Amino acid sequence: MSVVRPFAETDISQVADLHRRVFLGGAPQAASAAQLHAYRRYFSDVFLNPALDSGAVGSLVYESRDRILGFLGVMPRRMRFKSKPALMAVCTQFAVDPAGRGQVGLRLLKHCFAGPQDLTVSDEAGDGTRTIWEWCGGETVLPMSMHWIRPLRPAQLAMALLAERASLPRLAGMAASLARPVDALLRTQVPALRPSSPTGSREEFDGSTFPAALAGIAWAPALGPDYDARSAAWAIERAGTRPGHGRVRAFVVRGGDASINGWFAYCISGNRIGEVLQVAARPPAAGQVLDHLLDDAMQQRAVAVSGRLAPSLVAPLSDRQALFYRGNHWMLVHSARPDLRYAVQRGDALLTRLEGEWCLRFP
Amino acid sequence: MVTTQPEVATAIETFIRRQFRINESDAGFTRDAHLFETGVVDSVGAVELITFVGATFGVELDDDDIFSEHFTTINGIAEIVVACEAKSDERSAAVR
Repeated sequence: MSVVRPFAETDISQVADLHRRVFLGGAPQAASAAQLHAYRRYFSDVFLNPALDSGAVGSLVYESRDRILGFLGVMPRRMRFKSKPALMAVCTQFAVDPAGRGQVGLRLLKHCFAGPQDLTVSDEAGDGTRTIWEWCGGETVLPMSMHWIRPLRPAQLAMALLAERASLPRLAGMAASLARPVDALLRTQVPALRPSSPTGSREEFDGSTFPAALAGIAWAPALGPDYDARSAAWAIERAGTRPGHGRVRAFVVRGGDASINGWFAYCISGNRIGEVLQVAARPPAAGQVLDHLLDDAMQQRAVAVSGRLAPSLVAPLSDRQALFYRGNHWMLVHSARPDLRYAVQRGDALLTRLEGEWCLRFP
Repeated sequence: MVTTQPEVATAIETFIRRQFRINESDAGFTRDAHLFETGVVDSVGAVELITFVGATFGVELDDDDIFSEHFTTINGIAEIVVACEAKSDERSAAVR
């Protein structure tokens, strides 16, 4: 007899083993005590955290003959759609035992879609998950599956990307010493590479001030997050625990009259690329907010800034010499409500990495 | 459409062998072998198989069919397809 049921604390050791085998290429023997401890902390903080519990939406396991063959991490997120509360489920860590593939993944996802949430998303999905997702009735959000990158120090960026390739670290090492002077020369010879000096002002903010900023804006898109101080602090803290990345830098941007024009949050990766978690801006001020982001990243010696595309930012990003590309991940959505799907597809949504899977990665 | 179970099973077997690169000499691969537990077909493969069955035989499989024990072997899937075709033929006759 096989069932799909809610994930419980007593499942952690089995799910940890499953996760290790599927995602980390772990050997079939049981997880070590240290690994199990790390998993227990992760699952307790992310998927079994009572402070984030919606009471109705949660992670699922597929169990057959007392053995867990599948796991779907589901994080509830409080949202607002056209000023009314909406519940979003973020799917992540979709793992199916190699010995039980086939129906298991399909059943888990179908079960999840049938839940009480208004909207289900996954924003770091691979090709396989996309195929299953679409078969189960979901759809791909192609504009939000695009990414952008704005080189700040192009030569050093090229070196950072070369160094990532296992076959080329030596070449990258040899060329690295040349990259800084090349970038200095480029900045003087190619003015378009220099980010514009931002107008207005920016001030650092954190989880406690973030919800107030979000609540105070009159230009919010149809769908957006509904953070309180606790959930905002949690998201920003979790985002900062991602391995290989620095702390989250979050700033609110003000216009000349001190009103909030928007904000941004990002963190800098080990290869000094600023990974954007969220950019929100009053539509006419999107360029100003991006200028502050690029300026801060420049001061932090980032070689580039990169993020998942928000359709509302296409024009100001393009004006600032950003390059657009299709990354390795898909943004997927499912909802029984056509108005919600439409809002997401047309980009009338503040649905960023901060609300998505970025904060849900296993460290 | 009138199709016999062996015909359906042959078409499904041909599809699976081609799609999932099953070696002709693989003695463990039979029409009664569990397609998922043996690792022949994964979740994405299951979607491809369901799509193939629907498109080839013109049947609409519901979740009860897809998640049944029968839908784990070639012979079991062929049984489901033939039963779906029979139901569809009965409905067509009733409409006439």
